[in-house]
Amino acid sequence: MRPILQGIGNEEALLTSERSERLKSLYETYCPRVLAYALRRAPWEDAEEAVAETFIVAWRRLPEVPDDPIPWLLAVARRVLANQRRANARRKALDLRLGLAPRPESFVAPDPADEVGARMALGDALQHLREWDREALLLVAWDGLDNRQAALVMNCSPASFAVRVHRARRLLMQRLQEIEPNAPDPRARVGWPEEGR
Amino acid sequence: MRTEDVMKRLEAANPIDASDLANWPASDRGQEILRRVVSAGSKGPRGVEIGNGSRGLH
Repeated sequence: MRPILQGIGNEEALLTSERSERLKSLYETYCPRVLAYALRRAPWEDAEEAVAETFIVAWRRLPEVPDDPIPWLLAVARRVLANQRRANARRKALDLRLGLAPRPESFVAPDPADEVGARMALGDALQHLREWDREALLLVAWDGLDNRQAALVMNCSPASFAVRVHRARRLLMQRLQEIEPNAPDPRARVGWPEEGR
Repeated sequence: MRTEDVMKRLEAANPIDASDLANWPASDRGQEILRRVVSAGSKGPRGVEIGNGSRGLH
């Protein structure tokens, strides 16, 4: 794999062809992760649009893209998707006023918890988390980021992220135990020792 | 149940694995999006409109 984003100085000093090559390399390497991130949070068409807008921002701000670009790219994608949701909500609100929207439920923006689905208690438990907590957990569990990378996406310190994501895990666990009070303890299947005895 | 178990369960519920999309950038649609990005970038930093709702190549 070609090294990317090394030795980037002033954007104006870069030749257009060099910038294009760097952008293409960035796109080919990291586009699948950005698209996966977007697809967990939006329908396919909106996700593709978010990918395009994310990489347009990357193109415009190429000198700012760090050597480890994935947290930076996901932070941009997160903002793009948030803008999309707000725009969709405004459009649907207008449709409703014009009598074009059949159901108020259409105001509900796509949510990552919906992707997990009502079929799973996990989805229900996720829906009970605050948006920040849910996003933090999913960045780690689904996007494969470590705490330092996820903290960059969430624009907080790694220490603060670690505390908050730990609390989010506990909240998710508590909610799951409320939903599934009779669920078998997975430790029983693998013979783990019981805690507190 | 432990928090570690919850995270394993959450990981297993991942609806989209990025590795499944590894070939998307080389697909027709992926290349179309790339051309659109490069085209927008070729206009320069002040020539790019973000979030204008356009789709595909224009």
